[in-house]
Amino acid sequence: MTRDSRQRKFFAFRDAVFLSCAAAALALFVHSGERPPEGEKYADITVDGQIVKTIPLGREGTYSPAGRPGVQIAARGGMIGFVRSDCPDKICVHTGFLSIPGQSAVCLPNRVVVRVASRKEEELDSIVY
Amino acid sequence: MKKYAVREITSLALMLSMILIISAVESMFPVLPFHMRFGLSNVVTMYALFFVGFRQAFTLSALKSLFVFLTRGPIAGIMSASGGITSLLATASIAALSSGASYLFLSVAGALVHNMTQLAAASFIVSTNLMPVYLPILIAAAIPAGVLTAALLRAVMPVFKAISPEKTRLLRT
Repeated sequence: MTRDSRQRKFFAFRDAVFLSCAAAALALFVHSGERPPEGEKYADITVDGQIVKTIPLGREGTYSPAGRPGVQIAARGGMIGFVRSDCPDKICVHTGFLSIPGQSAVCLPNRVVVRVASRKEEELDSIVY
Repeated sequence: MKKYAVREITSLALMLSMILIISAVESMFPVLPFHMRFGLSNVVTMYALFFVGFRQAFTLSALKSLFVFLTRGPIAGIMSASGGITSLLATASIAALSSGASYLFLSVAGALVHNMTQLAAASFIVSTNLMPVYLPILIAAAIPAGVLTAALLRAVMPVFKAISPEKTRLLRT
Protein backbone atom coordinates (compact mmCIF):
# COMPACT_ATOMS: atom_id res chain seq x y z
CA MET A 1 0.00 0.00 0.00
CA THR A 2 1.28 3.40 -0.86
CA ARG A 3 1.43 6.23 1.56
CA ASP A 4 -2.03 7.66 1.92
CA SER A 5 -2.96 10.49 -0.40
CA ARG A 6 -2.97 13.92 1.10
CA GLN A 7 -6.33 14.90 -0.30
CA ARG A 8 -8.32 12.38 1.75
CA LYS A 9 -10.74 14.26 3.94
CA PHE A 10 -11.42 13.63 7.58
CA PHE A 11 -15.13 14.24 7.18
CA ALA A 12 -17.12 14.41 4.00
CA PHE A 13 -20.69 15.50 3.45
CA ARG A 14 -21.69 12.00 2.40
CA ASP A 15 -20.53 10.76 5.81
CA ALA A 16 -23.41 12.68 7.37
CA VAL A 17 -25.77 10.98 4.90
CA PHE A 18 -24.20 7.59 5.58
CA LEU A 19 -24.35 8.01 9.37
CA SER A 20 -27.95 9.25 9.29
CA CYS A 21 -29.01 6.28 7.18
CA ALA A 22 -27.17 3.85 9.46
CA ALA A 23 -28.72 5.40 12.57
CA ALA A 24 -32.20 5.38 11.02
CA ALA A 25 -31.88 1.75 9.89
CA LEU A 26 -30.68 0.74 13.31
CA ALA A 27 -33.47 2.63 15.09
CA LEU A 28 -36.01 0.98 12.81
CA PHE A 29 -34.45 -2.43 13.42
CA VAL A 30 -34.43 -2.03 17.19
CA HIS A 31 -37.94 -0.56 17.20
CA SER A 32 -39.36 -3.40 15.14
CA GLY A 33 -37.74 -5.99 17.37
CA GLU A 34 -40.33 -8.21 18.99
CA ARG A 35 -41.18 -7.28 22.54
CA PRO A 36 -40.36 -10.11 24.92
CA PRO A 37 -43.73 -11.46 26.04
CA GLU A 38 -44.57 -11.53 29.71
CA GLY A 39 -44.59 -15.16 30.69
CA GLU A 40 -42.88 -17.53 33.02
CA LYS A 41 -39.24 -16.56 32.82
CA TYR A 42 -36.44 -19.08 32.85
CA ALA A 43 -32.75 -19.22 32.03
CA ASP A 44 -31.04 -21.69 29.74
CA ILE A 45 -27.48 -22.52 30.69
CA THR A 46 -25.40 -23.60 27.73
CA VAL A 47 -22.00 -25.29 27.89
CA ASP A 48 -20.16 -25.85 24.60
CA GLY A 49 -23.36 -25.13 22.70
CA GLN A 50 -25.45 -27.70 24.59
CA ILE A 51 -28.22 -26.63 26.96
CA VAL A 52 -27.30 -28.39 30.17
CA LYS A 53 -29.79 -26.82 32.55
CA THR A 54 -32.97 -24.76 32.51
CA ILE A 55 -33.67 -22.81 35.66
CA PRO A 56 -36.98 -21.00 36.31
CA LEU A 57 -36.15 -17.50 37.47
CA GLY A 58 -38.45 -17.67 40.48
CA ARG A 59 -36.15 -20.23 42.04
CA GLU A 60 -33.40 -19.49 44.55
CA GLY A 61 -30.10 -21.35 44.54
CA THR A 62 -26.74 -21.83 42.93
CA TYR A 63 -25.59 -24.11 40.15
CA SER A 64 -22.25 -25.19 38.73
CA PRO A 65 -22.31 -26.84 35.31
CA ALA A 66 -20.79 -30.31 35.13
CA GLY A 67 -17.11 -30.08 34.25
CA ARG A 68 -17.00 -26.39 35.17
CA PRO A 69 -16.36 -26.41 38.93
CA GLY A 70 -14.88 -22.91 38.75
CA VAL A 71 -18.14 -21.46 37.50
CA GLN A 72 -21.00 -20.71 39.84
CA ILE A 73 -24.32 -19.35 38.66
CA ALA A 74 -26.88 -18.08 41.15
CA ALA A 75 -30.60 -17.45 40.85
CA ARG A 76 -32.12 -15.08 43.38
CA GLY A 77 -34.91 -12.52 43.56
CA GLY A 78 -36.22 -13.39 40.09
CA MET A 79 -32.80 -12.84 38.53
CA ILE A 80 -29.87 -14.99 37.47
CA GLY A 81 -26.20 -14.37 36.89
CA PHE A 82 -22.63 -15.57 37.25
CA VAL A 83 -21.40 -15.11 40.81
CA ARG A 84 -18.04 -16.80 40.52
CA SER A 85 -15.75 -17.83 37.70
CA ASP A 86 -12.15 -18.92 37.40
CA CYS A 87 -11.65 -17.12 34.09
CA PRO A 88 -9.10 -14.28 33.88
CA ASP A 89 -11.39 -11.45 32.81
CA LYS A 90 -14.50 -12.09 34.94
CA ILE A 91 -16.59 -10.38 32.29
CA CYS A 92 -19.34 -12.92 33.01
CA VAL A 93 -19.45 -11.95 36.70
CA HIS A 94 -19.28 -8.24 35.93
CA THR A 95 -22.23 -8.59 33.56
CA GLY A 96 -24.33 -8.85 36.72
CA PHE A 97 -27.77 -10.32 37.21
CA LEU A 98 -30.24 -10.76 34.38
CA SER A 99 -34.01 -10.76 34.50
CA ILE A 100 -35.29 -9.61 31.08
CA PRO A 101 -35.97 -12.23 28.38
CA GLY A 102 -33.32 -11.91 25.67
CA GLN A 103 -30.58 -10.86 28.06
CA SER A 104 -27.54 -13.07 28.33
CA ALA A 105 -24.23 -13.37 30.10
CA VAL A 106 -21.27 -15.13 28.54
CA CYS A 107 -18.07 -16.65 29.89
CA LEU A 108 -15.85 -17.16 26.87
CA PRO A 109 -12.94 -19.03 28.52
CA ASN A 110 -15.34 -21.55 30.12
CA ARG A 111 -17.67 -21.54 27.09
CA VAL A 112 -20.71 -21.05 29.30
CA VAL A 113 -23.72 -18.95 28.27
CA VAL A 114 -26.68 -17.97 30.46
CA ARG A 115 -29.65 -16.73 28.47
CA VAL A 116 -32.96 -15.54 29.84
CA ALA A 117 -36.11 -16.42 27.94
CA SER A 118 -39.79 -16.66 28.70
CA ARG A 119 -42.18 -19.54 28.33
CA LYS A 120 -44.66 -17.71 26.09
CA GLU A 121 -41.87 -17.00 23.62
CA GLU A 122 -41.51 -20.74 23.17
CA GLU A 123 -45.23 -21.29 22.75
CA LEU A 124 -45.37 -18.62 20.06
CA ASP A 125 -42.68 -20.45 18.15
CA SER A 126 -44.94 -23.45 17.72
CA ILE A 127 -48.00 -21.66 16.37
CA VAL A 128 -48.64 -22.59 12.75
CA TYR A 129 -51.03 -20.53 10.66
CA MET B 1 19.78 1.06 5.80
CA LYS B 2 20.71 0.23 9.35
CA LYS B 3 19.93 3.73 10.56
CA TYR B 4 16.43 3.46 9.16
CA ALA B 5 15.90 0.05 10.74
CA VAL B 6 16.72 1.44 14.18
CA ARG B 7 14.43 4.38 13.56
CA GLU B 8 11.65 2.09 12.45
CA ILE B 9 11.98 -0.10 15.52
CA THR B 10 12.02 2.95 17.78
CA SER B 11 9.00 4.53 16.17
CA LEU B 12 7.08 1.24 16.30
CA ALA B 13 8.02 0.79 19.95
CA LEU B 14 6.82 4.30 20.71
CA MET B 15 3.52 3.72 18.96
CA LEU B 16 3.06 0.31 20.60
CA SER B 17 3.60 1.81 24.04
CA MET B 18 1.04 4.51 23.23
CA ILE B 19 -1.46 1.81 22.25
CA LEU B 20 -0.85 -0.20 25.42
CA ILE B 21 -1.04 2.83 27.71
CA ILE B 22 -4.23 4.15 26.11
CA SER B 23 -5.83 0.69 26.35
CA ALA B 24 -4.77 0.26 29.97
CA VAL B 25 -6.09 3.67 30.99
CA GLU B 26 -9.31 3.11 29.07
CA SER B 27 -9.98 -0.23 30.73
CA MET B 28 -9.55 1.37 34.16
CA PHE B 29 -12.66 3.47 33.60
CA PRO B 30 -15.44 1.22 32.37
CA VAL B 31 -18.24 3.52 31.26
CA LEU B 32 -20.05 1.31 28.78
CA PRO B 33 -22.20 -1.79 29.37
CA PHE B 34 -21.15 -5.33 28.25
CA HIS B 35 -17.49 -4.44 28.81
CA MET B 36 -17.53 -2.50 25.59
CA ARG B 37 -14.80 0.05 25.06
CA PHE B 38 -14.35 2.85 22.59
CA GLY B 39 -11.03 1.49 21.41
CA LEU B 40 -9.27 4.82 21.69
CA SER B 41 -5.89 3.22 21.01
CA ASN B 42 -7.04 2.64 17.43
CA VAL B 43 -6.18 6.28 16.81
CA VAL B 44 -2.54 5.22 16.86
CA THR B 45 -3.15 2.17 14.65
CA MET B 46 -5.08 4.33 12.18
CA TYR B 47 -2.28 6.87 12.15
CA ALA B 48 0.21 4.09 11.48
CA LEU B 49 -1.94 2.64 8.69
CA PHE B 50 -2.46 5.89 6.81
CA PHE B 51 0.71 7.82 7.47
CA VAL B 52 3.38 5.19 8.07
CA GLY B 53 2.40 2.03 6.23
CA PHE B 54 0.29 -1.09 6.24
CA ARG B 55 3.15 -3.32 7.35
CA GLN B 56 3.83 -1.17 10.41
CA ALA B 57 0.14 -0.93 11.31
CA PHE B 58 -0.17 -4.70 11.01
CA THR B 59 2.89 -5.19 13.21
CA LEU B 60 1.41 -2.89 15.86
CA SER B 61 -1.92 -4.70 15.80
CA ALA B 62 -0.27 -8.11 16.03
CA LEU B 63 2.01 -7.02 18.89
CA LYS B 64 -0.92 -5.53 20.76
CA SER B 65 -2.79 -8.83 20.47
CA LEU B 66 0.31 -10.69 21.60
CA PHE B 67 0.48 -8.44 24.66
CA VAL B 68 -3.19 -9.11 25.42
CA PHE B 69 -2.56 -12.84 24.96
CA LEU B 70 0.34 -12.78 27.42
CA THR B 71 -1.36 -10.61 30.05
CA ARG B 72 -5.03 -11.59 29.83
CA GLY B 73 -4.98 -15.10 28.48
CA PRO B 74 -5.59 -16.98 25.23
CA ILE B 75 -9.30 -16.14 24.85
CA ALA B 76 -8.74 -12.40 25.24
CA GLY B 77 -5.80 -12.75 22.82
CA ILE B 78 -7.95 -14.47 20.19
CA MET B 79 -10.65 -11.82 20.55
CA SER B 80 -8.09 -9.03 20.24
CA ALA B 81 -6.36 -10.58 17.23
CA SER B 82 -9.56 -11.45 15.35
CA GLY B 83 -11.05 -7.98 15.74
CA GLY B 84 -7.78 -6.14 15.23
CA ILE B 85 -6.57 -7.91 12.12
CA THR B 86 -9.89 -8.07 10.24
CA SER B 87 -10.67 -4.42 10.92
CA LEU B 88 -7.19 -3.41 9.79
CA LEU B 89 -7.54 -5.45 6.58
CA ALA B 90 -11.01 -4.03 5.93
CA THR B 91 -9.94 -0.44 6.55
CA ALA B 92 -6.84 -0.81 4.38
CA SER B 93 -8.85 -2.45 1.58
CA ILE B 94 -11.50 0.28 1.53
CA ALA B 95 -8.77 2.93 1.60
CA ALA B 96 -6.97 1.26 -1.30
CA LEU B 97 -10.17 0.96 -3.33
CA SER B 98 -11.50 4.44 -2.68
CA SER B 99 -9.30 7.48 -2.37
CA GLY B 100 -12.42 9.53 -1.71
CA ALA B 101 -13.51 7.66 1.42
CA SER B 102 -13.05 9.94 4.41
CA TYR B 103 -11.20 8.95 7.56
CA LEU B 104 -14.50 9.02 9.39
CA PHE B 105 -16.02 6.49 6.99
CA LEU B 106 -12.93 4.27 7.20
CA SER B 107 -12.94 4.46 10.97
CA VAL B 108 -16.63 3.55 11.31
CA ALA B 109 -16.21 0.72 8.79
CA GLY B 110 -13.23 -0.59 10.75
CA ALA B 111 -15.19 -0.45 14.01
CA LEU B 112 -18.12 -2.34 12.45
CA VAL B 113 -15.87 -5.07 11.06
CA HIS B 114 -14.02 -5.27 14.40
CA ASN B 115 -17.23 -5.76 16.38
CA MET B 116 -18.79 -8.24 14.00
CA THR B 117 -15.63 -10.35 13.82
CA GLN B 118 -15.36 -10.41 17.59
CA LEU B 119 -18.99 -11.44 17.90
CA ALA B 120 -18.46 -14.21 15.35
CA ALA B 121 -15.32 -15.33 17.21
CA ALA B 122 -17.17 -15.32 20.54
CA SER B 123 -20.06 -17.29 19.02
CA PHE B 124 -17.57 -19.80 17.66
CA ILE B 125 -15.80 -20.14 21.02
CA VAL B 126 -18.97 -20.86 22.99
CA SER B 127 -20.57 -22.85 20.11
CA THR B 128 -23.70 -20.74 20.60
CA ASN B 129 -25.13 -18.16 18.23
CA LEU B 130 -24.72 -14.90 20.10
CA MET B 131 -25.73 -12.80 17.08
CA PRO B 132 -29.40 -12.18 17.99
CA VAL B 133 -28.49 -10.87 21.42
CA TYR B 134 -25.46 -8.75 20.68
CA LEU B 135 -25.51 -7.79 17.01
CA PRO B 136 -27.79 -4.71 17.33
CA ILE B 137 -25.91 -3.29 20.30
CA LEU B 138 -22.52 -3.95 18.71
CA ILE B 139 -23.52 -2.32 15.42
CA ALA B 140 -24.95 0.62 17.36
CA ALA B 141 -21.77 0.92 19.42
CA ALA B 142 -19.48 0.79 16.39
CA ILE B 143 -20.85 4.03 14.99
CA PRO B 144 -19.96 6.36 17.89
CA ALA B 145 -16.72 4.44 18.46
CA GLY B 146 -15.69 4.96 14.83
CA VAL B 147 -16.71 8.62 14.86
CA LEU B 148 -14.77 9.18 18.09
CA THR B 149 -11.63 7.54 16.68
CA ALA B 150 -11.77 9.66 13.53
CA ALA B 151 -12.38 12.85 15.51
CA LEU B 152 -9.47 12.03 17.82
CA LEU B 153 -7.22 11.25 14.89
CA ARG B 154 -8.01 14.68 13.51
CA ALA B 155 -7.41 16.29 16.89
CA VAL B 156 -4.05 14.62 17.51
CA MET B 157 -2.74 14.78 13.94
CA PRO B 158 -0.74 17.97 14.64
CA VAL B 159 1.03 16.14 17.47
CA PHE B 160 1.78 13.11 15.32
CA LYS B 161 2.95 15.35 12.51
CA ALA B 162 5.27 17.18 14.87
CA ILE B 163 6.93 14.01 16.10
CA SER B 164 7.29 11.98 12.97
CA PRO B 165 5.90 12.47 9.47
CA GLU B 166 9.08 13.49 7.71
CA LYS B 167 11.03 10.93 9.64
CA THR B 168 8.58 8.12 9.00
CA ARG B 169 8.89 8.86 5.31
CA LEU B 170 12.47 7.68 5.60
CA LEU B 171 11.24 4.34 6.89
CA ARG B 172 10.23 3.27 3.44
CA THR B 173 13.32 1.62 2.10
